[in-house]
Amino acid sequence: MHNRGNGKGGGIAAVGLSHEDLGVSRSILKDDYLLLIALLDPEARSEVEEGFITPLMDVDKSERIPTVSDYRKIPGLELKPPDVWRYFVRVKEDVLDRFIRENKLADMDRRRAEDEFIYQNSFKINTRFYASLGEKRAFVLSHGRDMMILKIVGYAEDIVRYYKLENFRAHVWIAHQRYPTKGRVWHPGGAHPFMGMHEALVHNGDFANYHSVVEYLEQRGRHPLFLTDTEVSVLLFDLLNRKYNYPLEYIIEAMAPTTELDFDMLPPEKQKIYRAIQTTHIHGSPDGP
Amino acid sequence: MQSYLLPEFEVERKEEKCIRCQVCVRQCAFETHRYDEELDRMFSDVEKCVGCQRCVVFCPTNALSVRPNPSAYKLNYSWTDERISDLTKQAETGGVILTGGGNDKPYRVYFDHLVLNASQVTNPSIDPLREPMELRTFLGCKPDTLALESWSELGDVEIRTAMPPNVMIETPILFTAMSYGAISYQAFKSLAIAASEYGTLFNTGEGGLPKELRAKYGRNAIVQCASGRFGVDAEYLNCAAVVEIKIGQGAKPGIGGHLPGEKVSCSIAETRMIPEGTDALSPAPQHDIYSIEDLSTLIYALKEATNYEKPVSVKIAAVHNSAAIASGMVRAGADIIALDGLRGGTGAAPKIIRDNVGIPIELAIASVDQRLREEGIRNRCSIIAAGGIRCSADVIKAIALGADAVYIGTAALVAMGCTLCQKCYTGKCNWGICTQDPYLAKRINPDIASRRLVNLLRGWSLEMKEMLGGMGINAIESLRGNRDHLRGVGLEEWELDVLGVKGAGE
Amino acid sequence: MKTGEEVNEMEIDASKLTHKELNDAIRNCVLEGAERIILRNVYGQRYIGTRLYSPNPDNKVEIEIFGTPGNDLGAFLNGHRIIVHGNAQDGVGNTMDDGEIMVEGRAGDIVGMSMRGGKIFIRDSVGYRAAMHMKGYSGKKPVLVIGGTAQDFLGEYMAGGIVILLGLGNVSHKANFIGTGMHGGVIYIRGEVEKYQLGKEVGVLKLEDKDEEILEKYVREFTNYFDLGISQKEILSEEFIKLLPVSKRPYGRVYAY
Repeated sequence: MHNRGNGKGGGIAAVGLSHEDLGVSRSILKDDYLLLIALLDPEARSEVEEGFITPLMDVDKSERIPTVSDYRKIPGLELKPPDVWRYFVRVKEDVLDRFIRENKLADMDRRRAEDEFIYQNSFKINTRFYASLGEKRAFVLSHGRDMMILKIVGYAEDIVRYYKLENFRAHVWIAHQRYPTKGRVWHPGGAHPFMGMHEALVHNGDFANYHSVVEYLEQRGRHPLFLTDTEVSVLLFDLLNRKYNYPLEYIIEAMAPTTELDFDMLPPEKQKIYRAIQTTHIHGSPDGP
Repeated sequence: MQSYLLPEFEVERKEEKCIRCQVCVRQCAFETHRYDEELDRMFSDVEKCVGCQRCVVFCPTNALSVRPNPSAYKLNYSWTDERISDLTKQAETGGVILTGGGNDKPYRVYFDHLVLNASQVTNPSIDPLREPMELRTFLGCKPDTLALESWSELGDVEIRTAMPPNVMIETPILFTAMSYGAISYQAFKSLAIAASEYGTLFNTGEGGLPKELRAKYGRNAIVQCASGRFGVDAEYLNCAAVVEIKIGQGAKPGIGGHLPGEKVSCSIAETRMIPEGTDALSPAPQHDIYSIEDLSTLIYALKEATNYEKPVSVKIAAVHNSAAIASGMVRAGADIIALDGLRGGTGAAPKIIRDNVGIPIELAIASVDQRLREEGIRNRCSIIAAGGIRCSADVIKAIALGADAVYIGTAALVAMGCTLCQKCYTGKCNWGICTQDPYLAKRINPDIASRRLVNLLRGWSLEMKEMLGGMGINAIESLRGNRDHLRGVGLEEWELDVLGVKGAGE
Repeated sequence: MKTGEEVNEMEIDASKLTHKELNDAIRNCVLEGAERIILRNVYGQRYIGTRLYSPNPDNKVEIEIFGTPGNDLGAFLNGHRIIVHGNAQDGVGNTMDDGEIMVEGRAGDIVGMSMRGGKIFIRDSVGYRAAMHMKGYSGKKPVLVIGGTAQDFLGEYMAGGIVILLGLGNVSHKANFIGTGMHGGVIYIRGEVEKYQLGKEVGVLKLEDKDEEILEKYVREFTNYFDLGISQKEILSEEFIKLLPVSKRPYGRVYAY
């Protein structure tokens, strides 16, 4: 798999972590959001924390992910990977109450409202410390529960070495080697996986309609910040999943519509629903070979 | 009064080839050719020739050629030959100069300054001859989302959202509004047959849909409800696929029209629901629409009349503030917006209007699409672009700029034989298209003309699949508004801005 | 006319309904076989009667409206009968094809616009551009009778049909541009109209016998429908003028061919 990349972007995601490895209780691992923030500028940490974490969230544990002392010890790693801080957090009750009130989310399940708060907060961090700046300072790697994403300019396996994850336990792992032709090729923010809410996504290839999918998302209030096809895919997934509440089958139909040939062979009641899904979402559906 | 007009064309007859068969005499409704029995010779009155080339094509011995008259006034870039002959014509008649066809003035054709992308290395292209390529297009309002309700563990769901009506077409090319009355019954029927054979739509224009065509071709018809309300009744509205309110037309924005009484035959009178022989007047405005609120009133009147089962389209001429107008139209309930650009055709329009009013369709598509996206209502309507779509690349470019589909008019007429002589308004079309003279109209055989039209749709569709495949796109609907696949060549910065495309190389 | 005992009558309280809900309800009544539908508390709901297209010509109903129907009452009407106990707004009988609309009160602008069949009787006066582009063809002859007077552009572009303006209740006709662009049909006016009030495409003619017949017929119907306090005979005793288009082709000479 090493050969699939060119060393300009590597990433991993892990789900189903070990609370012992992370030094927290089983319930904290299960209930808290695990916020991973990449600090490209270590000075940014206090600003991120004071602006976007400590006043809003109860932090059950925070720490810098340990690394080897010098990245140059790892052969082939040319750029220093970011310092990554992880925080186990819950949104403060009064903050969440206000958020629900201001956004008229009273009908929403409280946990889903908390998800939305975390999601929006990460978007704010990424806009403020990443997308709006020429010199990038920090960005959120992942924020889901019981999951984490790490990414660097380099190869995926170097992440394991640099962040000393050889003995780190998780139920499911994905790793991705990037061969970038789009987006910020020189930057860890452009590497995969990209986060949804509780999802991590990797992808190879280009969308032939990247531009129109971005516009579709922007009309629905989702603003891509990292300039890659993969990011817009996971934003689409999140839109269909959390905002529109589609069951997985229909998320798939919206994102990868059944082709005309197969469609004509479906039973009529499926055709009716698939047709409605296709008609509604066709302009936000990634296309390509 | 002696006319000072220069003949537009010169007719050359090779005497050695001419067999005096007089085909040319019979083919020319303008009476250009005549045969002198005593002299056994053919003569041509060149001042009558309109340059339609009918006699040239039908001359069995290829004895004829028709070309621009070499006689010309002294070269003058300001006072061109056309200006001088228009002045002369008006001095001799005191009237408004009529013309037919679309704007022929050298305004920039933006399609010719846009180039398409193709996949190289990072993304494979697709082979359209062997792999599925989808041109199917849905016209109508799309909801933001669907409320799905699960009713079983197996993932069966029911849709709670009322789906707005959408019409499926097999290729994003529709025949634009050309009314029975403007064109002959035969030409009209040819369009209907071709649309139904290919699985697309034709537009009745504002002259109604003859009763005998409703059952068979209604489902492929866009029926218009225009200012004259000709031929509009409940059955007409309910037999159609789409109902279109015509506000304006690219060839003559802001003005009405009229079909002269001598063309209002018994059958046309019946179809338009007016007395035989009277002028069919289309007022400039729809007199029940004086503002955007009234447009909404009419849109919902038509939705009511069709039990909310048909998408309602609103067609406007592309003008300076089309983007704002379009936004209002969508909010007024339009499911489809048809934009007709500066180069849109007509059967008859004052030349001064045709040549000077409106904006190019490419700019209108881009600005309307952008405005609707900015307002987050783009999904609530489809955009059909019209006015100067000449080839399949124009279709692809129009869609990449933001249209969902295009209307073709002139291109379809050319497929049936039109040579753009621009004399549609005389009613003497030698090709049998723009005439109500039974002798001329029967020159169009709907079986043959519809085959020519279907061939055109097929040829363009194949070409479009090639272009899509090259860009690595499977389905035409993914191309819509995909400006990233366009680059401008030789355009100013403001033009690139309005079009929303980058310059080539950027 | 059928009476209440024989007909299948249904009633709808429109007070809290949007136009779509009301028209849904009316349509349902018709689908359930109603022959007469009474609408109470109508407050400006539009398009009453519009959604009742049926390919079966026998499938006709009578709709009685108490209150004030909104714009486009009976637009595209396809052969039903609508009675309004009150005033109507703009667009009464817009593009209607067949049927009858009776308004026991006044109506707004563009009454009978583009209608090409059926009858509209308005007891009092109407607004601007009544009978605008009214048409007629192959045996279809729409009729608009107005008890009071009309505003400017009465019968503009008129291409067919009959308009009768009765001028009852001592109203004086103030409209200008009467029959401008008219190229078919006929307008009868009872009461004074000056030459300058007429469009340049119409001429004033004396009534002939067949005109008398037409007036007799429709004025009788009008006086039968409404409680006017004036008889058919009294109405007809006063002089009418007849307006006809000068040409079927008013704009033939505008263009250079």
